[in-house]
Amino acid sequence: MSINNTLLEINNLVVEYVADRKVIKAVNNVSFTLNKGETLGLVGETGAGKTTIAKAIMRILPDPPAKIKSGEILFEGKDIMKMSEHKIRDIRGNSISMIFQDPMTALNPIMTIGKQIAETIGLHEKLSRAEAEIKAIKMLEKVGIPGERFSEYPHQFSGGMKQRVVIAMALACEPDLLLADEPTTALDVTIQAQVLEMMDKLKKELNTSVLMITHDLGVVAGTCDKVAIVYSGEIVEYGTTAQVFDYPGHPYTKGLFNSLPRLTSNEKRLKPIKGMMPDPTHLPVGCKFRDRCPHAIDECREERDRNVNIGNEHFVKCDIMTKEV
Amino acid sequence: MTVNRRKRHKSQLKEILGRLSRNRLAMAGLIIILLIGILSLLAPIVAPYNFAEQNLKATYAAPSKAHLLGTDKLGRDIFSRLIYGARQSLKIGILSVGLASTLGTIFGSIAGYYGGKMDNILMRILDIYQSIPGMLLSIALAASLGPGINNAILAIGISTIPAYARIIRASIMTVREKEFIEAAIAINASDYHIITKHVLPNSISPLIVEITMNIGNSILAAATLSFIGLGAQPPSPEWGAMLVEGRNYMRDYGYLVIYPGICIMTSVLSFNMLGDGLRDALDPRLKN
Repeated sequence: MSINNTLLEINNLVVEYVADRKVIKAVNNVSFTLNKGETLGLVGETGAGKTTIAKAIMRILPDPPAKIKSGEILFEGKDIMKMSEHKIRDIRGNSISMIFQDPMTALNPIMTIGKQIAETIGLHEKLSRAEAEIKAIKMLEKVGIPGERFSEYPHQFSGGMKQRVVIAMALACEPDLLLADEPTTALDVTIQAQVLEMMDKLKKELNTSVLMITHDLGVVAGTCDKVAIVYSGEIVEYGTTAQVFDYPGHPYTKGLFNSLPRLTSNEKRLKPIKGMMPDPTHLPVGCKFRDRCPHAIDECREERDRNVNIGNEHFVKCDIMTKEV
Repeated sequence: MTVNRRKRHKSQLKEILGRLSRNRLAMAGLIIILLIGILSLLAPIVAPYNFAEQNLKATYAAPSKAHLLGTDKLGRDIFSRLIYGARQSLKIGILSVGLASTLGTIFGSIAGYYGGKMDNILMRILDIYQSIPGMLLSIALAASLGPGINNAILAIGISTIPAYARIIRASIMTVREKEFIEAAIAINASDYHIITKHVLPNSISPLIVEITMNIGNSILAAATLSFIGLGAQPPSPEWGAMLVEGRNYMRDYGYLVIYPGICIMTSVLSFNMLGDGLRDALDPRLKN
């Protein structure tokens, strides 16, 4: 993999929220790379820090309360965190754009959807209003909404249609990187499939890299080239989709797969992961998963680097389980 | 493509007016306000007498064919004075509220959108501001600026700024948390653009209701200023001032206060009905 092919590289990112004098450790030492045209799935439970990572990349974390403590985010080799506000504005929305989780609230309720898409285009390209509107209609038709609905308001659309509009907005300026924050969570399954299929098609058309944030392993299997499993602000497992799905190494990843129903076996009960995620204001020392881990031993209390490469860039943040393998 | 699009594209204003026109109460309010407005503009043509024309032979005349609504203590035709008075009252109501709501919106949106320190500083200033009773502040301002309608407008306008700032701030703070604001930041819209295009239009509805209610209040406040000699100066007619003038003769010549009172009530009510209708029309979510 040549260096030129890397679009996004995150090294040792640490983000904290400060609220009521408590420090919430949302993202702890996260590193990963994303190549051009590739899709990386960030998978994890609610509150694991997935959205915070995405917002840090856009540099739209609200400060206060959020603080990026350390680390670097390299986009096309340049550190986003060190950029001036002026420079980041060239990138935001133009080279990197974001799809928000809830299409019901991601659109301005009193502006026609066409205007909202045209607005995005107008902010980044020097086009007349009429030209921007024509481009917006083209974008609408690309995501499967007839151009006649240009002057309709968000409340006149169904949830799936709204998410298409949001996607059209995000892709209007043909970004190099698309941050999709649970783009299908608010949609029902049939619409999910349509939306994902459409995203995949557009992604290939525009050669966009996608950071797919989700808690749905099914979505990952269908769309992602690589997967990063996030737990308590850390990436506990990272590899290609095939590696992670076929040979999950971390006990948490295994737990995730075990808690999915399988069609092939006739198990009556699912095996959930016991317990809750640790309180981000009092993270345990050592392995953060050890309280819920069936294989935990005393050694897991130690603070040390647990990252193990179990072959072909497949990283697992557990040196106990991987030793046995 | 362009031609087709133009056809489909209905301006937002047109749509709002379309929705407004389907609201009967609001239309009634609008019609009354327009009627008052037109009458006041055409006052020299419509009014049978000049507002200052005295007829000392016919003081306190009861309503008759010659004087539709009777005459006051100097024999001036009340109907004519009411028509001329509409000019003053509408001017005071609209201009003072316009001044206060514009400044209040600017302060309120800055405080509500940026929050934090900016919010704290602005709101504490407004706290001090509001700790002075509004009427007292108006009186003090009017007294220092000198009597007259324009100064009354300034005085009433300035003293009501904090109320608007608070309303707009509260409503902006709820809109500010919405995801589409975050989305607008993510597509790199400037703060000014976000506030004027996304935040304000979504938070303006309560302000509109407040504005319409307050046009009535301003008309009353102007009457109070006139009462203590700081508002409209005689002989210029102003509904509030007429009300105050007639107050002493209320028991014997009720029409001296009843007709100006009806005028104030009707116009305030019309503004309220229009305001409610506008709020529904501005918010497509309330449409049914």
